[in-house]
Amino acid sequence: MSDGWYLYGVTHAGVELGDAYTTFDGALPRPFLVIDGEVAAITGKVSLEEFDEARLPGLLNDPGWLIPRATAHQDVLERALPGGPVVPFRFGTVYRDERAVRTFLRSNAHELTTALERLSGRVEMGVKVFADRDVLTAALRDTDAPVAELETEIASAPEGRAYMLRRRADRLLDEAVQQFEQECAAESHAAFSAVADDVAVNPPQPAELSGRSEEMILNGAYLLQSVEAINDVAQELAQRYGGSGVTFDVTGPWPPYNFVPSEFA
Amino acid sequence: MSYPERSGQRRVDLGSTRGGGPAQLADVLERVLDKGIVIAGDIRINLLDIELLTVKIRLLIASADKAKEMGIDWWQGDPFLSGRSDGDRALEDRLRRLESAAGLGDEAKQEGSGRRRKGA
Repeated sequence: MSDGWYLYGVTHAGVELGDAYTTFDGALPRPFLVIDGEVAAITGKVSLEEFDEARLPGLLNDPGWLIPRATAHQDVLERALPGGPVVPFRFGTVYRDERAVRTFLRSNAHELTTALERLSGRVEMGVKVFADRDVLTAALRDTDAPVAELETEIASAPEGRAYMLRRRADRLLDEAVQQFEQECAAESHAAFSAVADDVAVNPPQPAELSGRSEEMILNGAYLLQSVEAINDVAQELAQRYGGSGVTFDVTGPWPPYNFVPSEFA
Repeated sequence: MSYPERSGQRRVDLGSTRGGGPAQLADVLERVLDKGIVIAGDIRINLLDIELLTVKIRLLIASADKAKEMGIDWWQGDPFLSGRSDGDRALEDRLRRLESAAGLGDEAKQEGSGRRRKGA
């Protein structure tokens, strides 16, 4: 059976990739460029027998098939980053022949060039903010005024009333924790946004995914020119919120997955 | 144009975490399967299939390393994961329950984004 053309992304036609692609070794094919005018598709030849519409649903549902290929997709785009801006494609875009790849490049040349210009000199950084609920709860128990007042009242109340007040204090404390987390997430996002050209907020990952026992309260992506700037903001925020059990996890630079139009012609 | 060393560009001195492990894999999958440009290629890839899988991975990725440590081929034994379930119907139902339990449904996504965007 014949080959298909897998699209990783699009970059400038004049990009210098050095040995970034000749040294690539992964579960997807070694990438090369298909150049048309000012833009170039980062593409690789896959077996159409493997990328077959009837087989794909099964393969996509097999992590043993998908995970190495998704990781290879990321690796290819990451290797292209030092050469210049890259427009990443979502996993699994396949054309039947080179002509179809060229047709896509030609009919979307303007949109692709515009996207590349917007991304030029900019990187995507990820920021995940975590709150340690135990530390935060302990901190707020001492500092939250309504809770502190109730604690004083509980200390001198008769047993039955103390029980009622205790339940109320616990509820107030839970609310204070949630409010703190929301405000912290909003203020952190605002601080990171201030140094970014574009922002995207994704749903916080559950603990099963983040691999952390703390609560993820912000899962943001920021497009920016200065990597140092986001690091500085993260350090400032970490100092400010450190006593409340909040930590900041910065990742990147990433190919700008979060900053391309998701639908294309 | 010079080509920087890969080790140099991967870690701008940030204390950033781009190492291995489930958390890093989760970040990669979140982007590669959920973001980036979508075009209609010649081979139709069912995005719903990817979304279903993404959520399954989201919920189960962290258990992969643990299972491996215990010598379990973690996805092979689970009909849900290995795609051998009786039908898409059952899969979707189960997924919907998992999504809602994990707060990962469409509603939860929009709500989450909306609330936090206000702070911008």
